[in-house]
Amino acid sequence: MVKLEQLEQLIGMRVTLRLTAAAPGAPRITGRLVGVLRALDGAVVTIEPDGTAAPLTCHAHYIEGVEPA
Amino acid sequence: MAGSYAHPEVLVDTAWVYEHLSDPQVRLLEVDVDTSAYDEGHIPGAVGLHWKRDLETPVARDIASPEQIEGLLSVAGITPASTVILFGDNNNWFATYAWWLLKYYGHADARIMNGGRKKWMDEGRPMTKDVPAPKPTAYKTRAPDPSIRAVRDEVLAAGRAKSAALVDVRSPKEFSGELLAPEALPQEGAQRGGHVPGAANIPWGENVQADGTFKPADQLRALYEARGITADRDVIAYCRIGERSSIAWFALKYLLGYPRVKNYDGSWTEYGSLVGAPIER
Repeated sequence: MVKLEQLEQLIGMRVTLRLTAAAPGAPRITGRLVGVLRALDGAVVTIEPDGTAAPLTCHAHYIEGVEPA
Repeated sequence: MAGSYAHPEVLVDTAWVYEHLSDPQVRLLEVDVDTSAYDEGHIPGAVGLHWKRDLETPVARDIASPEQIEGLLSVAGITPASTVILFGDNNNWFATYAWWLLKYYGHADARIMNGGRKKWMDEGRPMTKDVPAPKPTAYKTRAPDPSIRAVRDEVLAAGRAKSAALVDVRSPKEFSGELLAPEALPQEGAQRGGHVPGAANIPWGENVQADGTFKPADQLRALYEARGITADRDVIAYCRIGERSSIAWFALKYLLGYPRVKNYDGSWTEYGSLVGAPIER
């Protein structure tokens, strides 16, 4: 699983998230990283995928890696 | 703010709360996961509740009794006509649980402060350590509303006969059985790990945006419908002890207006210890 600090450093940037095989939806998402919401049971990441108006959320558990896009 | 929510009146934003700090009609209740947070500072006028002491019965495992709730609200200076605003840490985990309890006992006007304690603090709004001493009332609860509370047999039936759609809001590791509780907490409370057969794992954090406020209605609807949780079904939300799932219950029932949604307060600490109950991993 990706480190949350790594995700937080990229907030506001265009990134590609690589998701695990168990993640619901596509294996990769590219778009603007909106934020990381931390809680006692993990974190949820919000991203605005390219070409869509609606942001997506994804539990950080499913994020294998992240790179600037 | 509320967009096309089915019941926008159940949410207030931090600015609304700030503007109503001196409104005698409005009473603020803070409930935190971290029970020391209130003492470190809170919104002026807010009364602090302790989730374990105030929202559960002290001996048998159950939600707070009518008498407990009456005592709690009376000491907080609340009448049945008060506008009660609930908020807390961890994105309102226990605030929505207390809100669910107030609705269970028939309080008419209860609202959630969108974004909770963190958003208030992030905005630099005033905090105090002064504990208010409101004039006590003689609050009387109404008859409990069983239509919003799921009990063990209903959840067993939902798992076995698919009589209701199940939403498991725990983290993916709890859902899969790798953990029995959030990673940061002691791994206790249930004998087995996993989830109720057929449950959809929609972690509670997917109900909110990056700033902790609830997603707009169209995004919430898309989230749930994509996982088969539709308005025409009976829905039961659960987690480990029923507080995280109260967020999904709140979103489904009040923000989306699904007619038949229940919160299972027994949740995994009950289900995961039942002898013979079917479990998926």
